[in-house]
Amino acid sequence: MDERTLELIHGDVDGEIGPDERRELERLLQASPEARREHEKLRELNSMLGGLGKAEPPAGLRDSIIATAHRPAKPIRIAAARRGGWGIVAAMAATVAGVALFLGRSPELTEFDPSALGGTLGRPATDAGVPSFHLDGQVVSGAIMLHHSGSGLALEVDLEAERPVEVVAAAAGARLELAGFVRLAGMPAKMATVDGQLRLLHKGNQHYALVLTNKGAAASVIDVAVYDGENLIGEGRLALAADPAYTGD
Amino acid sequence: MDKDPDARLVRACRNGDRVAFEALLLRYERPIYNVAMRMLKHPEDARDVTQITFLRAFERLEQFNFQHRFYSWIYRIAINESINCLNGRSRLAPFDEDAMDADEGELQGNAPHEAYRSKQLGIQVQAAMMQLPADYRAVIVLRHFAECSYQDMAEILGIPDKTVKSRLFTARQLLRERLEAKGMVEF
Repeated sequence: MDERTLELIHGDVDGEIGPDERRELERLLQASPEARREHEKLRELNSMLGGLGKAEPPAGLRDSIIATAHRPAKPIRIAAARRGGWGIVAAMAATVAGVALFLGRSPELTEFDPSALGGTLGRPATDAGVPSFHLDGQVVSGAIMLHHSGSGLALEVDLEAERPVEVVAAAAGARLELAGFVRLAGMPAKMATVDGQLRLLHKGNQHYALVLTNKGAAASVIDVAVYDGENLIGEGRLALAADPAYTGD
Repeated sequence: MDKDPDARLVRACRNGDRVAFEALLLRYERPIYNVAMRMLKHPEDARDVTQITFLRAFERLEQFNFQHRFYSWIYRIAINESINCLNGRSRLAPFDEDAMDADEGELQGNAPHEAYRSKQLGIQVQAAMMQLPADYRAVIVLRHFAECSYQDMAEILGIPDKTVKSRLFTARQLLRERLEAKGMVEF
């Protein structure tokens, strides 16, 4: 079928052709059974797509957007420079607005002050002051780090995975909930909190930070496990002890 | 006088008028969510992308050029953020996709046969759309779910009219092939 006929058929179904083109199309349809079939098939597809209807936004979305958009911007304070890799500092500086924006995900966070968290987010992964554990295997390599200050908690995940792996984080007796996230280089494919555990589906080479709240009892450690299907391929314990080196400036 | 019906609200927003921002949000929340939902399939991702879209628009209002329409601009942000979200996923299916499909397809005990068939068809159409490359899915979504004209789509996507038509025609052909392959229809 020639391009002109196709253009008229699609244009007609989309309401994009004028009276002259409509007359031209009618002549073509009368003359060509193939064109008539194509016209009918397109109308059928149009109807099927129309049958999907419109989805309603979830309750609270508008309020969440409004609350986040109008929250006063607070700069994230980065701790004093130390030796070691500072890629995370540059990345976090670039996403200052991102953290402030994404913290609006949960209405319970309206009083959360990102600047209280920022000091530890500025430290390199190699700094012993940041609880972390490293993986270096065939399926996945990288690091998972815990940043915390006061009530602020963030799990930073920087992994390169050959195939999808599941990261599960839990704190005994506590109830972790996801309050927001910061994309540094990619984001998890899926993330959810299930019975107080944080679960992430990590694919490929991605680097992000997840802001968490604890809705349960106070916790002193967060246990993190990494699974390749049913196989446990890495685990670590990240202590929530206060970091004496953080000055809060 | 502005040709864009949203221009007055955008100007007010830039002057710090919160009511104006909420009016724009009220006007576009549902259409943007629909675009994100049809691009991404998953409600949580669509929620996130909708939020990101409005917050990005809010951040960048000072850069908005009144020679364009706000409508095109915010849809462009939504499409780009949806594609960013898709790029953050791998080509493999999300781990609970089967569970999600099962929930969507669950038979309601007393549902009329026709309603059940219609629901199943809807699920398959959405699934077939998810198999389209993002650029092709975007034109299907903008045309069929945002009801954009060819000219609107050209402005939103920053491509010529001719390319919009070509892409849309090809996207429809690919969608039909996928639906036929699923055995849901015979075209």
